[in-house]
Amino acid sequence: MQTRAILSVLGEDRVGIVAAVSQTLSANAVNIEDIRQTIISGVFSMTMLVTIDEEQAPFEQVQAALDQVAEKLSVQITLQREDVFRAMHRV
Amino acid sequence: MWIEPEEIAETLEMIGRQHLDVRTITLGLSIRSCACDDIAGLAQRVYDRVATASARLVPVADAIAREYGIPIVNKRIAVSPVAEVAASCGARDLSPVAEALDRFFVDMAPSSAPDPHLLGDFMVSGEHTLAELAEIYGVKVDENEKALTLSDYFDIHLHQAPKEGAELALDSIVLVARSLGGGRVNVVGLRLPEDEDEAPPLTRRQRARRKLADIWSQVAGV
Repeated sequence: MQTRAILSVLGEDRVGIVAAVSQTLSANAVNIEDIRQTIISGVFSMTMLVTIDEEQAPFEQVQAALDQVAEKLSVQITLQREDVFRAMHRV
Repeated sequence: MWIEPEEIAETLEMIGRQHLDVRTITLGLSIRSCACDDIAGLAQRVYDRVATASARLVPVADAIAREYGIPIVNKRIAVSPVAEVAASCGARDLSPVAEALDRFFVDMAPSSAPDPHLLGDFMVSGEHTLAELAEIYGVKVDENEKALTLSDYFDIHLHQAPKEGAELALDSIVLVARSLGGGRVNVVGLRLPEDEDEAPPLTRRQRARRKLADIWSQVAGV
């Protein structure tokens, strides 16, 4: 089952955030559909639209792997199903 | 259709800071199949029906909450009217069915989600001073610390960078960091001491009774 999800990363800008996140995603067979990234006064903010192949890596496993990355880089990473944002912002 | 980063941030803020949550999900169960000519048998069937159907209610709800990133606070079970199915047994006293449901909730394994009590019973802004807290909750505060705000108190007494959920004792209450901004604690949960008059078994029973009362109100409303 393919699940579309939104990943958001928020934290102090530093070397290797994109690398660590995308490496973790690729290791879990997660495809990146789109990336938006900005730095607002030193705060790194990235949102990604990703597709998770739940047969290869279930949602929870991807979440757990990203939690480890978040802890290592001291940034905040959230992974949520895309439907939440769609329901909140689209009529 | 791409969702704009501002919209994503807005949603995350609603969940993270403004505590948007799904208040309750309800598992509605028909107990008509439990009909039995004996009230004890009926009660047991109702128990088994509820226990079997709801075995995965809490873990599944918790998994959905994690996947969508929105907490689901209450998981509730509503059964179809007991009077309807009780007609099959002709008993005058239906309390064994109520007792069976009561027993189910007491036997039920506690949720793996953290007890909301642990995060604090009340939330206050980090701007409040210890003196204000002392006045409202009657806690003892050092004379020279009275002017400190709760954010200051975390800065001074917490020996590492504050994280969400970090705890600090203040006399008989516990302060829990609920929300951070700019490396400081700006929303604080207050965990008040447990009421000593209530022995744990009693509270457990009361909780079960309250849940039962919820069910009855649901049943009445069906």
